Amino acid sequence: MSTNHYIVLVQSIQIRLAKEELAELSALQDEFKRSRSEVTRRALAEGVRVLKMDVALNRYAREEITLQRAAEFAGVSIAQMADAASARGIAYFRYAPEELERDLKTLRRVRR
Amino acid sequence: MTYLLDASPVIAMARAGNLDVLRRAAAPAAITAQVKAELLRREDTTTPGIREALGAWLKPRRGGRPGAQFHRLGLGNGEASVLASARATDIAVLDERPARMLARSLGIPHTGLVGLLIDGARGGRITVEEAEQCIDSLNASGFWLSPGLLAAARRAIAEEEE
Repeated sequence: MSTNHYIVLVQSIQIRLAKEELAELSALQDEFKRSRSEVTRRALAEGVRVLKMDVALNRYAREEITLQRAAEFAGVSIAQMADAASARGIAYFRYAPEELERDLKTLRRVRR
Repeated sequence: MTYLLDASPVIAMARAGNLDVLRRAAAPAAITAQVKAELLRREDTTTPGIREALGAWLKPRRGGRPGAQFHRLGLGNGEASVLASARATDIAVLDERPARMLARSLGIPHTGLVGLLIDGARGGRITVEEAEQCIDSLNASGFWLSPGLLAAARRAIAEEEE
């Protein structure tokens, strides 16, 4: 019989929590019937996901990065990122009307 | 001349069910291997239409691998590959400021999707009504246009109708 061996790299960190935050975790622990470590890891993963989306949207709103780069950073699809940006009131096509004119001139020129 | 498409315009058109209009407006079209990977990175409602297009007319071609400098400038893998592999006979289809600015500084001819649709109507590759309908359906999706750009696009289309 073969045996699979897995090496799981785990690092411990210490964090200070307020009494209320600890109570919230305990309530979730009861709800999910999981250990405190498991619940904390899940909460952390979810928090990281939300924070990454927030960072991506802010940088995208400032036009520092493209929608595609924002999606890559946040770990979602381009369409999902477009929806998230749209919900924040960020247009996808937002260059100046003069840029559209420039595009049309470029296309006329290259088609000749 | 070949339209070298980035992933976002393809996804935007797929979202609105307008890939066939894109096929005609952007003929002949090409994509890079990185754009193909970007198009298929995550399954969603656009994936079946995109797979069909990839099997029929949206063919990836060989091209240069983008350097890390493009990522530092805010570009995704797909856009970076478009800029890294654009040839003299290509017109890159890019809609966002970081990519468009870089294309300009590199001297790569480029257009946004809105311009491509209007030009498609002017050149008879698609109808004026199709261009109008595509812009309306993009605007009703997550890929909407800023009010100023929407007004300019509608004006340009109206000139075609006159």
